[in-house]
Amino acid sequence: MNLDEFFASLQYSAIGEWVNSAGPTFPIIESLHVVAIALVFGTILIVDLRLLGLASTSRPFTAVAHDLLKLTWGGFVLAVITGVLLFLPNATTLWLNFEFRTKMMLLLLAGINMLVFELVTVRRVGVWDITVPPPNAARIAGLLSIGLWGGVIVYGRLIGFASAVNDPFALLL
Amino acid sequence: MVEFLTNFSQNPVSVALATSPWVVPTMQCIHIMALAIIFTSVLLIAMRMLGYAWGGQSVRQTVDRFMPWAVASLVALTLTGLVMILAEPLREILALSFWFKMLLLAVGIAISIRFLRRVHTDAAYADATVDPDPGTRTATVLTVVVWLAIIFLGRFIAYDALIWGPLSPIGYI
Repeated sequence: MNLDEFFASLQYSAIGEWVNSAGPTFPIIESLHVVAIALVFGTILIVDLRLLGLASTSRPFTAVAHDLLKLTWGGFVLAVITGVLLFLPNATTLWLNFEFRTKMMLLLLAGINMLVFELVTVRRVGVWDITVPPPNAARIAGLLSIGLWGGVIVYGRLIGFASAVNDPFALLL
Repeated sequence: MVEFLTNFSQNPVSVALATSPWVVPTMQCIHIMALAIIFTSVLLIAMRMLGYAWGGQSVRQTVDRFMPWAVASLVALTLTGLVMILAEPLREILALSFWFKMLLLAVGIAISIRFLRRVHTDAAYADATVDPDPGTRTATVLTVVVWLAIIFLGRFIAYDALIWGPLSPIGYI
């Protein structure tokens, strides 16, 4: 089975058809995706601003991160589940879509940035946990994270302008 | 109303905004990021009220950390929202979801103002060891629920007829 066939089988699967069926299924899943994005971006931004030494500076970095970790991951899991559901009914066109591919690439880079930060910079967190501003490695990770996650949101939104949207006013414009 | 809005949408500013390839997508991206900030701010304050986050800091300190960001986001949401209304007045003003969203926004702001007044006048909120009273705790949880509903209704504007069926004025045009 080549990739085109694979994505076609996803698109015409029972679950793909269910998402795309008439009724409010698609808008509800999309709204849940926005809630998930709000959780992921909002909580990551709080951590990133602490890494940059711009906010929450009266608390240690580890305390800030600890409070938000579960929310970030909960939001991320919800974003992935709802994201896959939104992908299914348009699988054949989306996997070729430039905006979609860029978004996936930015997600991957955001993940790598987080991994490098966790494996390298966090190892010495004891030294800079309450230091304001934190060391350059931490600030760079925070800045990269804001840029990459912001990019994920921008390219995610642009997917909606690239694919056909059921907009009753499209003809009026 | 439809006639008035149709005529209004022909004004030069609206036409320029609506035909621009970048204005509406850019406004939407900023709108999503600002919404992420306000939602997590409200959520973190509610979690502090319930004792799930920002331990060791008083409610007043937590509010002082998050409220300026929430207010700045509200300003950004209002400005980007106004541009989107100007660009697509029919799509917004005729949507039932838009008016429910505005109603809930007023409710959310009213609850928040009451809450903020309480936090800044009652000395107990400056003490990290004092548990907040149950009524005010419920109010902050309610604010989170109101913002969740605002997120859903915001997304529903794009699908108004699909969500509300014959109740949506958009279904008739």
